[in-house]
Amino acid sequence: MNLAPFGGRRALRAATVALGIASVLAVATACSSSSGTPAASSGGTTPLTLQTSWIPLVQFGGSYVAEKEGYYTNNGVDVTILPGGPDVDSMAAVESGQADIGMGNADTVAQANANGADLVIVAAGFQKNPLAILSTSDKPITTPADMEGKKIGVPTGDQAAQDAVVKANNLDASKIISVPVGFDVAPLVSGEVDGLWVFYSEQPIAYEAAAGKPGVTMLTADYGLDVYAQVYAVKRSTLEDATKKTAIEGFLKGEIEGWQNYVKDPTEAVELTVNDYAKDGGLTIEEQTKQAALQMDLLVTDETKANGLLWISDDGITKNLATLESLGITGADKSLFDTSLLTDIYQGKSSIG
Amino acid sequence: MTTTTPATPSAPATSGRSSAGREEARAAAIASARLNARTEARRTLLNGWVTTVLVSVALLVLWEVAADLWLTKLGVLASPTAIIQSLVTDSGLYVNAVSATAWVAMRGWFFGNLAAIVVAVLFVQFAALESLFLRLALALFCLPLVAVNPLLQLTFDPDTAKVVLASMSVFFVTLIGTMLGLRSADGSPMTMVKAWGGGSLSSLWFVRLPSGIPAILTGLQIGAAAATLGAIFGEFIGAKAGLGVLLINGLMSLNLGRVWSVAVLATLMAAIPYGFFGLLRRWLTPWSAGISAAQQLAPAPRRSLASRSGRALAWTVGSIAVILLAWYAYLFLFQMSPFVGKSPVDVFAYLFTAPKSPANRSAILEALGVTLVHSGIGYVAGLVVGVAAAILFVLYPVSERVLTPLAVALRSVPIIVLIPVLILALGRGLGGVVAITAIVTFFPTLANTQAGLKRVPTDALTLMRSYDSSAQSTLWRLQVPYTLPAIFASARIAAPTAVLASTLAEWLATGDGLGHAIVNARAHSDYTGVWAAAAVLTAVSLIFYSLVSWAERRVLARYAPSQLG
Repeated sequence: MNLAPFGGRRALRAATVALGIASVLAVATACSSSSGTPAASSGGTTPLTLQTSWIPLVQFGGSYVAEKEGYYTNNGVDVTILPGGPDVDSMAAVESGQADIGMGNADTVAQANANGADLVIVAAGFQKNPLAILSTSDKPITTPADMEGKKIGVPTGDQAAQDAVVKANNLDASKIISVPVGFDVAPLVSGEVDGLWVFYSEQPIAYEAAAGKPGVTMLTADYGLDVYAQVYAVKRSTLEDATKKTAIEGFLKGEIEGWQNYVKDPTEAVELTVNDYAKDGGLTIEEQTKQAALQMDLLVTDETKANGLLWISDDGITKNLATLESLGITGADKSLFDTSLLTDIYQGKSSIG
Repeated sequence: MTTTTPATPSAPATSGRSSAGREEARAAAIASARLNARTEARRTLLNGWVTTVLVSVALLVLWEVAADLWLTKLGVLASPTAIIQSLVTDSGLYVNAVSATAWVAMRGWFFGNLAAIVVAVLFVQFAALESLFLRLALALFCLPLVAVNPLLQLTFDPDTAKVVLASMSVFFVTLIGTMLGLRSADGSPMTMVKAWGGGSLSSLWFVRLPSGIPAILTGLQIGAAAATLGAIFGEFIGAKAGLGVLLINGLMSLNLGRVWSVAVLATLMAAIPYGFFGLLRRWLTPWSAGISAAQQLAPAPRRSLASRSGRALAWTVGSIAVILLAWYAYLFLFQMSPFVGKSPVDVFAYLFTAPKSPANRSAILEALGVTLVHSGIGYVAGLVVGVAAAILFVLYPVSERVLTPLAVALRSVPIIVLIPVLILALGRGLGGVVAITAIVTFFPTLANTQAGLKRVPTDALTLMRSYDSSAQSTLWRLQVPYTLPAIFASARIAAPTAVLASTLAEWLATGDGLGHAIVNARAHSDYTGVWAAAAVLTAVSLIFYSLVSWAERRVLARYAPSQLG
């Protein structure tokens, strides 16, 4: 009856191996799914999901503090913080209903709206756009005019920003060589480019560590790219629903308390980031402390000192809309922002809690 | 190599002796010759190992020196000692990262392969299913990663999205391999089953599956690397732990020890299952060499040209309808928000009827032209080098032992880590993007060609040996013709892979072509643009694939049957 080997002992062996693999995986899947179910909303808190824009870093330290210190739950919301990444589009996540609140730049929100989304900015975490141009101290770029005759590394997606800087400062685009890059500073360290588009509070630290001396950073916010960054965007329909609007207001209160805590002393936020939220990210206290300090320049301005963190001012809205126009984004007007929640929360004061 | 007896050195110098003495001398001569042969074989083996170790050590030293003197300072490559140091100091971190990524990769690998094997059996048993759905499977394989990743993030919860991406990276290659394996059984055993009154189920169970096992195991082997890469890329859609997270943080903080430790770990995660399933294949299916000998395609039933092209056209139209239906089904079943989920109608409007359609069209066509140049050159280069390397390995087995781990490593290093090195070496122009494409094409070609060369039946090899054929002549007259189906199978799969790789390189290195267009459209929330570019790219990959399989059928029909007798 041994017509083919598959009927014999070897088949048994093969089947055993296959079955073994299958059962191990099945058991493991069962285990993970039983332990991985998120806790249902308890004690009358509304569940909300916050989609951050990048992998866990102290960049979101205020939110981590808010969750850990119970600022969210005290305000009636139970927030799940979703990590982001290079391929995450927070605006699409909000528009498609996967998240309730998304973090992004004012221009990404406007861009999404220009393509059919209907999102509203309810608060602005970073008052200054962190997009900066990093250069070496040998060939510094301190003003946009210095970009002429240089090679600039531009990540895909920031080309429009570069075009806007060129236009706003009357530069000759033909004299600037754009080189496509990823999100590491290697091209600048190796000398492949003279300038690099970076995130103000992140890559300059890496560059200093790698090159052994600090680079030169030029904030593009000072040269025409003046948009709010790390804004909190929600769907317009969310704000039209009274219950949901209350929940978002509760979230913002918790968020503001978290960031107030951060601004007072970022130590807790740094420790939470390194030891908890990004504990498998291989970050160091030292490097995240530096980032947290740099980030203060973006969070705290004269306006937030007068009106409170995450504030959106009329003056700010005007500047934002002007920048959006220079970026070539159409259809944005004042309705892109909704300041009613912030006004309601602060009640004319400059801090809460 | 094989243990052929070398020419006996000191045999019959014994004439004027008695016949008994002559017998004795002959026996002694044979014994000494055997001993010589055995020593010789052992020495060759030993030499092989010594060479392997020497070359590996030399490469490591070279790496260390190049990194210390030059490459680390440029922010490109960490030295072996720096990598070991990082692995040791942060071992806990790496253990967590590997387990997070491995858990996703394993599930993706398992479900992707399971689905592929089930689908392959269905396709082989019911030819109509294959004609209708193979192109859909192919279309899924051709979808550019840069477009798929963000869409998956918006379709599933983060964990499922990662597993789906990992299984998608595995599915098609195993599908094709398994189908080839199951089909390799056509021939006398099948006739026998039929003669004994067996139906298609018994031929599946008794003939097709046993002869398909080596090919299935090869799929599982190669799939490990693909699943690991898929899992790492999956972490780009948001993760707290895993090798991809370490990679992003490492790149951003320019911690080269971290980046290259991740590369080494990813390589091991691909190489260990690769070796394991290779051993398992030898252990489970020692008969494989005998059975898979008859690996030629089943001769196509002869019909008139008109009827053949009529049928082909009907199946093509049917396949396109199936792909479009699947597209709609995806949007409907997953309730995709119209902001991100664009339908074929939206894409058609974007390309042909919308007011901006002429501009959209010319932008996409221009980008497509660039991508075709990149992928075409890289494809041919990868294919040629892959086949050449496999042949080199057969002619000089030492090179196989030294270079196989290197080749496996090269394939498994996350391409995003490799890209900076290639850019530095070859620039951001054509050279860099072609090299990236070629590397991706190279590995499957090498693996398949090697496997094909090994499947040449031993009796045919014995025949060549008995004719005292040289290694060269055996290679060209027997092994290469026998391997043509395997070479073409990998050439077919490599066609869409090459297109995908060049889009990845365009995103990260050159900033032109469709890869750049897709990422740029995504950055501007222009999802219709994303879908349109992805659809065009997929269509082109499908055409590319069909052209290669057309060439395959032509060559095999003309060349292989006469050679295979």
